[in-house]
Amino acid sequence: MTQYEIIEKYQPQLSRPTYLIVGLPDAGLVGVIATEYLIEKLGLKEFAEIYAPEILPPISHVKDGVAKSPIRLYHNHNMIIFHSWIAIPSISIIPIAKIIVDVAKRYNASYIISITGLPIQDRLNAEKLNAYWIANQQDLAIELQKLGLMEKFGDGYIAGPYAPLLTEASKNSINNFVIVVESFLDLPDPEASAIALNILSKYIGFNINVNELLKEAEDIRDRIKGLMTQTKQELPNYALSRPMTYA
Amino acid sequence: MPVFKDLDDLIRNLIKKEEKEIKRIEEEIDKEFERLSRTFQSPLYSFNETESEYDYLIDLPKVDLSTLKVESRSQKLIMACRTKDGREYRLFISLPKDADPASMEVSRAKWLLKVSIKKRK
Repeated sequence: MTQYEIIEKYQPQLSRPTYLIVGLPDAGLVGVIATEYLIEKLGLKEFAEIYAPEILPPISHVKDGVAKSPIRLYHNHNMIIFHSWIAIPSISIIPIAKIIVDVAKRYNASYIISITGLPIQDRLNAEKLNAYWIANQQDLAIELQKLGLMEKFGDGYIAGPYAPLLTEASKNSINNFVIVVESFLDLPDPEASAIALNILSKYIGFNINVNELLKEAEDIRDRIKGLMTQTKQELPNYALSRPMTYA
Repeated sequence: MPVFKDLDDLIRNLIKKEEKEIKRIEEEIDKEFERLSRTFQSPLYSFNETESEYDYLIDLPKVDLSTLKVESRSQKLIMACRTKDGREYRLFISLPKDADPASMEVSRAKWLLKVSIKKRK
């Protein structure tokens, strides 16, 4: 049992259903680019940080001169964002999945939605990036199939930080699905994040202008270069040198 | 100058000396590359191999393209450039043995710099 604390500034008031959106660094940083953009553009408020010295490296994220935990929680009226500013060490992905489920239970989230990249060989020449869903329960799979916002992933494997989360959430009867968008593996891919955000906004029902994300892509890539370098070192440990999601 | 009875011995000796000198220069170049890598920022890059070539995709956000230099020397890919805000990127990549540096092609693809090098047949 991992010892950790959720250090809350305040308890957020949330309407139902509540969605917990998870942005952890992995393929193409698709998830974290998306959640960081959401935090900024929707003006989500930081209300808590995760303190887990047993499983996280001794790194603090310094924001405006203030040192904070690299994993923090943000919210608006019906969304909580679980965002990590550092790569998750491979030995910590299962405890982190358990923490995410604890967070979902604590704030009564009805859905956990993860965002990740699906590395493809010819990403550079891909005209259109395909998006897929992976669900942790049959009812959710039927719902996603009916909505038709993305294709079913079908058969394959998912490895890395989102894989144990699917099982942990299922064990706790919480709906969890992963938005998987074709992307680069080891280069930041804001285009893939923009596609994921479009899908997410339609699913939850909010407006977001992803054109700005594409305009700001150069700044984003410059800013998160270090995180991609750190993630690149961690990626092979997630799945014995295999890509994060592969069919 | 030592004396050799056999011309073959003389030539072999000269070749040996040349090889030693080339090895020394190569080691010096490697040391210099290592030193420079520590001094400058390295950009992110991705590597892809096809049947006929090696592709390197280099991410250079905020690059000032007028400062970009890409060359291959001693079976190494060397890239240097400055960003619009004055930072410097340098990249040194050892090329595979069958890469033909003379075939190097540099292009822009999406937001990335693509360096393609054909394999020797």
